[in-house]
Amino acid sequence: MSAAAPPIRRVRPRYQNAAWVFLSPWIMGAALLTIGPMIASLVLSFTDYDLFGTPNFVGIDNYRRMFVEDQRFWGAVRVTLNYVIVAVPLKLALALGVALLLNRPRKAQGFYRSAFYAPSLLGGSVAVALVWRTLFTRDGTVDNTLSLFGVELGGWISNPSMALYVLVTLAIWQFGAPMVIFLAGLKQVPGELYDAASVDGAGRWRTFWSVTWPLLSPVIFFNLVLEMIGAFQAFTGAYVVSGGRGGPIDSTLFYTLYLYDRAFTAFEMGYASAMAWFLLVVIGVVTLLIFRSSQSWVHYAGDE
Amino acid sequence: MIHSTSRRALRAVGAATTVALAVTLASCSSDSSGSDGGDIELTFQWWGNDERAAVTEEAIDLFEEKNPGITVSGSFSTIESYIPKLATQIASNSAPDLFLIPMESVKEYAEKGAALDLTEYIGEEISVDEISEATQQIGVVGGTTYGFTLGTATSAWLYNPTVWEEAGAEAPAGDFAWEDLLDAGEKIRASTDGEVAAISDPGGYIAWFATWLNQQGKIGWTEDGQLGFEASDLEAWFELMERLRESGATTDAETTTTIDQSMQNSGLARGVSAGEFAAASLTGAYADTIGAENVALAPLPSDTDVLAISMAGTNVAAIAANSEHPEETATFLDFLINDPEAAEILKLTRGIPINQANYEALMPSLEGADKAVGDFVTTYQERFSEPDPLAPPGATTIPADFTLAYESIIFGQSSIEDASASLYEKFEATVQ
Amino acid sequence: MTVSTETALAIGIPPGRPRRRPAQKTVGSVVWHVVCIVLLAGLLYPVFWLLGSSFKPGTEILANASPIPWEWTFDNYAVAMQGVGPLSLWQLFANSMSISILTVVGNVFSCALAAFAFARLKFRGRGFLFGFMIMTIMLPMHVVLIPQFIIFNNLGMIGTILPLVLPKFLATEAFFVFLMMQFIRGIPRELDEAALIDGAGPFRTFGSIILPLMRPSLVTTTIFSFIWSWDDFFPQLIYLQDPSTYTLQLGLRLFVDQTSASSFGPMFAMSVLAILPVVIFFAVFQRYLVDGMATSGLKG
Repeated sequence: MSAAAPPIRRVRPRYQNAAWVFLSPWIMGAALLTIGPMIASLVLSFTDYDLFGTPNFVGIDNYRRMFVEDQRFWGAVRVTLNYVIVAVPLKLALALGVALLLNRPRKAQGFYRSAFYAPSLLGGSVAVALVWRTLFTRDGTVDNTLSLFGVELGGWISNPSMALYVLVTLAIWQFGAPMVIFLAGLKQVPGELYDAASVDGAGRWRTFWSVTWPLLSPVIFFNLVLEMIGAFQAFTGAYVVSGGRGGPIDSTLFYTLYLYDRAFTAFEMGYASAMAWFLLVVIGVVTLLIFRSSQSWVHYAGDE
Repeated sequence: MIHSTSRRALRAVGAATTVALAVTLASCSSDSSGSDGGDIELTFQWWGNDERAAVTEEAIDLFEEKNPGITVSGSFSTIESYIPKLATQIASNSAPDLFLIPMESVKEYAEKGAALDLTEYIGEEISVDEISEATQQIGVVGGTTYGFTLGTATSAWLYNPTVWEEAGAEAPAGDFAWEDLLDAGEKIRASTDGEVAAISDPGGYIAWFATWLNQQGKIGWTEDGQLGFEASDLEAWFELMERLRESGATTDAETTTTIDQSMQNSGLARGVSAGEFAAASLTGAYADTIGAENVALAPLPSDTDVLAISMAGTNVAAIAANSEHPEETATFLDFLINDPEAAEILKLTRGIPINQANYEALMPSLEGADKAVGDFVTTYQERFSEPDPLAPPGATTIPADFTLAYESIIFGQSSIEDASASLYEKFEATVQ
Repeated sequence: MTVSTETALAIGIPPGRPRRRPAQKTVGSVVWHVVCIVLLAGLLYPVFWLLGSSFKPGTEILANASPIPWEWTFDNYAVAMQGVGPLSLWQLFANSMSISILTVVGNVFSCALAAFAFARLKFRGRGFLFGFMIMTIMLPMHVVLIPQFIIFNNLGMIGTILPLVLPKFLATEAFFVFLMMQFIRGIPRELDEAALIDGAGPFRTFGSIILPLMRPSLVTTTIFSFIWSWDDFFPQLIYLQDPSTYTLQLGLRLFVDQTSASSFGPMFAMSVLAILPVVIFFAVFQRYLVDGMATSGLKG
C-alpha cells in the first residue's frame, strides 16, 4: 500500500469490499432465513391464518380485537411489563455485584465462578420447574424460611398476586449469563488505570465510578438492552412452571405465552402474528430509547 | 485497490460458501434416497412416554416383518410438545402419514381437511368387524369416518383406600351421591388434622362438568354442534362445587390451583387429597407414585342412577389428507387396531383395545394396574353410557377458558352468576 | 505504594500489582470466602434439591420436601442410563454434543466476522443493517417458526440437524454479533491505525489485532453457544423426526408425560446427567476469561 505521509489526523479506513466479505455469512443468513419469514409473519398478521387452509386477508381485524376486545391481551401486557420492570434491574444488579466480587485473583476463582453460574446451566428444564414449584408451595422451603423471619405469605405459587414473583426469582436466580459477560468486560479494564487511581488516592466508590463503570459501560449497555429484550419475550420459565397455562388466573400469563397459546392451541396464527409485531414495536421503541440515552453514559474506548 | 490478503480472504469465504451451498443441495437430493428399490416408507407420529414408545416400536417392527416392502419410521414426543409440532407439520404440508389427533381437536382437523376420508378403506384395508358401533363413532365427523381411536379409556374416581379406611369413611362403590362427599370430607379432614381433602376440586374441568351433565340427561354439545345445556347448569355446577369447597370436602382454592392434570402436580399423588377424577388408564402411574395399595377405582359420584361413564376415545388415529401412500397407511392402521399380536404387545398402553376379540383375549393376562382397570371396566360395564359427540371446531380453547373461569370464582374475583354468564358466551361462540 | 485491602477488594486489582500486608490479606480473604459461601448456599439450594431428589425413590419425590432423601437409591440413575425407550443414553448424549459443538463453531466463526464489520468497517447502509439485525432479536420466534419450517422443508432439510446448525454458520444469533461488537468497540483504535501504518489490510488487522484482543467475548460466545444449544428444546422438537437423532433435552422430557405413567426419579437423574457436560464445559472454558486484554501490545 502506498501511504501518503504519516497521517496527521485520525484515519478511518474505508473498506467497502472487505466489509461485504466479512458480512457475507450474515447476509446469506438474513436473506435465506430471516427476511422472508419476518415479512411472512407481518403479512400473516393481517390475515385469519389458522395453520390449516389458506390465509384470508382481514385487514386490521386482529389488531382491533387485540387492543379493543381482548381482556386477556391487556392482562398479559400488564404481567409482562411488571416482570420486566422488576426482574431486569434486580438481575443485572446481582450479576454486576457478584462479578465484581469474583473479579480478583484467588485460587478458588474458577470454582466460585462455576458455582455462581450453576443455576443458569439448568435452563428452562422440566426438572427446574418441578423444583421451583416444590420450593414455593405453601409450607414449602421458602415459606418455612420466611416464617422464621416472621413473614407469613402463604403459598407463592398458588397465589395469584404472588405467582409472578416466583418467576421473577427464577429469572434472577439465573443471573449467571450477564455475570459472565460482566466478568469478561471487567477483564478488559486495563490494570494500569486502577493503579493510577490508587496513586491519585481514590477510594473504593470513587474508583468504581471513575474507572470501572465508564470502561464497563459498553458491556453494561449490552446487558441492559439484551436482558430487557429477553425479559419482554420471557417464555420458558412461565411455560414450565405454570404448565403452559399462565395461571393462577392468568397471573403468570406472559405475553409470549399467550401468543404461543393463540398460535398453537387456538390455531389463531394470524392473531399471534399481530401480537408478535406489536411486541416488536414496543421492544423497538424501548431499545431505541436506551440507545439514545447511551450517548450520555456509554463510553467506547475504541471510538475516540 | 484490493490487497492480496483481501483476495485470499475473498476466495476463502467464497469456498466456504460453496461448501455450505453444496451441503444444502446435497441434503435436498438425499431425501429421495429413503426409498430404495420400491420400499415404501411411512411416517407415524404419536404422543406418550418412553414405555409407550418402546412397545409401539416393537409393534412397528412386527408390522414390518409381516409386510416386507413397507418401512415405518416412528416419531414421538410428550403431549404438550406434540400439538405444536403437528400443527407446524400440517401448516407446511409435511404431516406424517399416520398421526394421532387429540380428542378436543378431532372435528377441527377433520373439517379443515387435514385428515383423509377413510370410507373407501373400511371393509378393505381396515376391518371393523370386531369394533363396536359406538367406538367407531369416535372417529366420525359429519357422518364420515376420518380415523379410529387406538384405545378407549374411561374416566374414574381414583381414590386412596388407605386414607378412607383410616378416616372411617365408607369407600365409594357405584352408589355414591355428590352430597355424600360432604360427610366423607368431614371424616377425612378430621382424621388427617385437616390436611387432606376428600377429593381434588373437580370444578374447573369441563370433563367432569360434562359427566355431571350426562348424569342429568343433558349433554355438552349435540351431534350437530348445538349446545345441550343452559347457563343455569353452569351455575348449578359451580354452586355444588362451592358447597363442597366450603365444607372442606374438596381442596381449597390455593391448593386447587397448583393441581393440573399432570402427575407431578396431582393432588392425590402429593397427598393433599384422598382421591381425584382422572383417566382410569393413569392407575398404573398413580400406583408407581404412591404405591399400588393406595390406589383404587370407583365410578364418579352421581345423584341419579346414571353413572355417565363411557368408553371414550383417547385419541383419533388419522391418515394425512395428502399422504402419498394412503393404502399402505390404512393397512398399517388396521394392523394397529386389529392384529392380535400387536394387541398383545401394546396391551393397555393407549387404553382398552377397540377390537373386542383382542380385548377379551387380553383380559386374563392383565396384571397389576392394567388388571385393576380391566376389573373396573368389567364390573361397571353394564352401566356405561355412550360417549358424547365430538366437540365442534373452535372448542379447543374451551377447556382452558373453563378452568380460568373457575379460578376467578374460587379466588373471589368473580361471582358465580357473572362467571357462568361469560363462560356460557364462550360456549355459544363455538356454535355455528 | 501500599494499597489498602478494602480498596483492593472493591476494585479488583489485577495480579501482581498490590503489595498487601499479610495479616490484612488473610482476614480479607477469609471474609471474602465466607460471603461467597453464604451466597452460594442460598443460591444452590435448588440445585441440591434437584440432586437429592435424583436419589429418592419415585414414591418419595412428591412427598418429601427436603433435599435429603429418606431412602437413598440408585435406581433412578440405573433407569436413566438405559436411555429413553429405544434411545440409549449415549445416543442422546452424542446427538446433543454434535449439535452443540457445531453451534459453537458456527457462532464463533460467523458472528466474529459480522461483528468486526459492524464495529470497525464503514460501509453503506451500516446503520440500517445494524438496526435490522437488532430487530431480528425482537420478534418472538414462534411466529417465524412456520415460515422457516417451510423454507427448510423446501430445502429438504427437515429430519436432519441442518435446520438447527446451519443458521449458526450464518450469523443468525444477533446476540453474539452484538456482544462481540461491544467488545471490539472497547479496543482502542490506535492499534488499528498502527497496523494500518504497518501496511495491514482489514483482514490482517482482524486476524492479528482484533481477534486476540476480543478473546473474552469469543470465550463468552463459546460458553453460551454451547450451553444454550445444549439446553434448547423447542427447535429440536420441531425439526428432528427420527428418535435416534433426539437430543438429551427431548429425551428427558419423555420421562414425564401427562397421558401415560410418569417417571420423576429417572427424569431427575437424567437431568443431573444432562447438566454434567455443561458444568464441565463451563469449568474448563471459564478459565480463559482470566486472560484479559494484553495491553503490553501497546507499549513499545
